[in-house]
Amino acid sequence: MIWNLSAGSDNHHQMPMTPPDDRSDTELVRCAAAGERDAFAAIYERYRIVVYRFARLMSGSTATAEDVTQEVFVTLIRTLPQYEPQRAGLLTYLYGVTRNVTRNRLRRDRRFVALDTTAEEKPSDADDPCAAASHSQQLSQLRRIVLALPSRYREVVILCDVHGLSYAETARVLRAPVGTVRSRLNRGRQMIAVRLRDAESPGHASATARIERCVI
Amino acid sequence: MNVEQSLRALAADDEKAPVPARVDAAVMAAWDENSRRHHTPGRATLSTRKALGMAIAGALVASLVAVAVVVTSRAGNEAPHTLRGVAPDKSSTPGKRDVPAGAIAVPPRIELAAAPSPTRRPPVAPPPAGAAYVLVPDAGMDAPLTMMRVRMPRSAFSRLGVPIANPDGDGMVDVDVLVGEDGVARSIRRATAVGWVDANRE
Repeated sequence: MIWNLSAGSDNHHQMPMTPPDDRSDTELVRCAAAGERDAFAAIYERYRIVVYRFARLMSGSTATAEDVTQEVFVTLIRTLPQYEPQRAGLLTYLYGVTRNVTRNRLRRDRRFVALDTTAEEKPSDADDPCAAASHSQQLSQLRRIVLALPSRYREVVILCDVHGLSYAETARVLRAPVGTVRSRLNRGRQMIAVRLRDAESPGHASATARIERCVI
Repeated sequence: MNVEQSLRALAADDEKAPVPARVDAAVMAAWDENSRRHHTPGRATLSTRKALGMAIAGALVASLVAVAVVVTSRAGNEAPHTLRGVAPDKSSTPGKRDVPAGAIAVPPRIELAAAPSPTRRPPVAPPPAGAAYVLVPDAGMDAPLTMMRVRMPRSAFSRLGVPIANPDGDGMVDVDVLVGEDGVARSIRRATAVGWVDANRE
């Protein structure tokens, strides 16, 4: 098997995965637990993007996301023999581990001040640099708003609206009733809407500061 | 732009972020390391190592308890009375015997601190001459005992009145500790007798 690590996806409402190995998760887990390196590599290739992006959005830090991704898969390596596919799908299991690891990391690191954010400054190759800057500024603002949400709302918004999981899948990841997921999602969206409105209001200085510099 | 559109845009932007190659390398290195550890014959597994670590930690605790008990007993021996009516035997009191230079100074018995003790238990007989055990008589010898091997500093043995003539290079010596079910050390001796008895008894 060729281990291709540059997989990606263009559709965010499906799981961002392009499995090069057509074996099922259960089969891959069984083979990996038996020591087959290619099987574990296939699992990693299939789910690393999901884990990394979920951790990145939850933490707002690429460095934390890298650490969490590594820790999640090291945990998987350790727990492969105990993993029971009939209890939870592998993706659900990985989401759950990622959520726990990220929350532990954030709890542990909250005394520190983050030096990086997920907003990466890259030169734009768009036809309209000003519009691109405006778009980038809006996304940065949205990331900050999502990051500022309480974690119980943030995780539901990310899982449902960004990663495209259904209510039932999200409920399984969070081990919460579907009704709880619905209410938290609704509440999270409301909070985001209010904060976006506040940010776009004329009196909000930070919303236009970078764009004004671009116009000048 | 409403909230759902905004979040969709965020998701689309998020998909441009690839997982850094160093994470890939680290994860697969962890897999390789894990495989090597579990599939190399003769190497301890993680659980075995954990058990070994716990045993060593327990042994260290037991040795500390043993040292504390013996040091306390020596402090108690400064008092004019001894336990259970055992007559003070100056020839067997550590540190008070006439020991030739270079000879072993293993005391046959160490009296415990002057705590009141029941008289139902007979006094422990001194070990035969030449035995390397340092007995702790009042701790009770009629219960099941567990022997644990630990490493302790030579200075701790010296405080017991047992100078070690040929310690290892790091000043630590291997000792066997007999530990009762209550975790209290009953007896302690140097584990390896190779060379040290003769060296101390010549």
